[in-house]
Amino acid sequence: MELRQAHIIITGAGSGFGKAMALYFSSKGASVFALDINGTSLSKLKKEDKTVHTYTCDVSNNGDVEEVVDTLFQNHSGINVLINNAGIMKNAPLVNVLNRPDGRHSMALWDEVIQVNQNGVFYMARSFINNMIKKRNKGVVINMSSIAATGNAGQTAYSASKAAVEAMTKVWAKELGVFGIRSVAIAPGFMNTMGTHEALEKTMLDKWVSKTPLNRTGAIEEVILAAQFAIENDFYNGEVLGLNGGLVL
Amino acid sequence: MEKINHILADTLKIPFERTKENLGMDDVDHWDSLSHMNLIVAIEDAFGIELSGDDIAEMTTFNAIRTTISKYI
Repeated sequence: MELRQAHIIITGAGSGFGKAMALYFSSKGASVFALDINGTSLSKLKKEDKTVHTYTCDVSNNGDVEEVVDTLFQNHSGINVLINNAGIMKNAPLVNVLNRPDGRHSMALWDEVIQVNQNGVFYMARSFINNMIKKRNKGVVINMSSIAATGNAGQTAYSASKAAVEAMTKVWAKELGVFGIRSVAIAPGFMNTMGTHEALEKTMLDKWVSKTPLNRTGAIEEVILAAQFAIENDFYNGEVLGLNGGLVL
Repeated sequence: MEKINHILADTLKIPFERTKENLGMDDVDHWDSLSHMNLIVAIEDAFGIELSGDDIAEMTTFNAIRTTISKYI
């Protein structure tokens, strides 16, 4: 698929990877529908590129997702790409021995991460694919995973949610190929984004960089190139595209 | 004490000289809940002891670690 023919829904498009992808793909002639829970961030995005369509949407709320996605398909023809980018990163050990008397992993934190990262992707894809099949549109679902999907100490919920995202990606590739719809995941390692700097202390990030063979964090532009490849290469399906500078956890 | 200091330096990745100070978790970059368990296991192996849950939770400064170990040896 050529970018000029792409009509792309991007979740979490108010900041970070999502915003960068929205602006880039729009500049390349794609139609972009930017979704985010934060209306203020979407307003800023709209000021930077008036051609981007913006919609406030909480991906962890299925009612919200169905309303926005159905509206998009009713009002716009040719929608053919979904980038499930929205996500949160919260860290905690399974049992924190320093917290007495109960150091068990917070249930609220577990539920929050799974609800956004795993269920949010499921809600979006379920609604998107339903509309795609009804319209007989062909295209691709791109799910943002993470190097943590293989299991990262201190990230039970985050790692589990991303492993689930990769599993769903592979299932959908098998189920949806018959409709001409592909499903791929992109699994970045440690990237130079605001989110990374907010989630990790500098010393921890420095440790991961020193373990990365290329000895640096990845750039947002490199994630955009991976997403562009996933859109443009019509034979790429059911795969997880690692983007980690050679780092293995 | 020399033995404890070597464990602290190796596990928490700090210069050996700094193990002579009474540093706490907030003072050492690599000392979090995960590295704390590595530290506990290293201490138990080195001294042939088994620390209680309360001991583990209270060993959050170098002085507290030394005091706790001295109860067992």
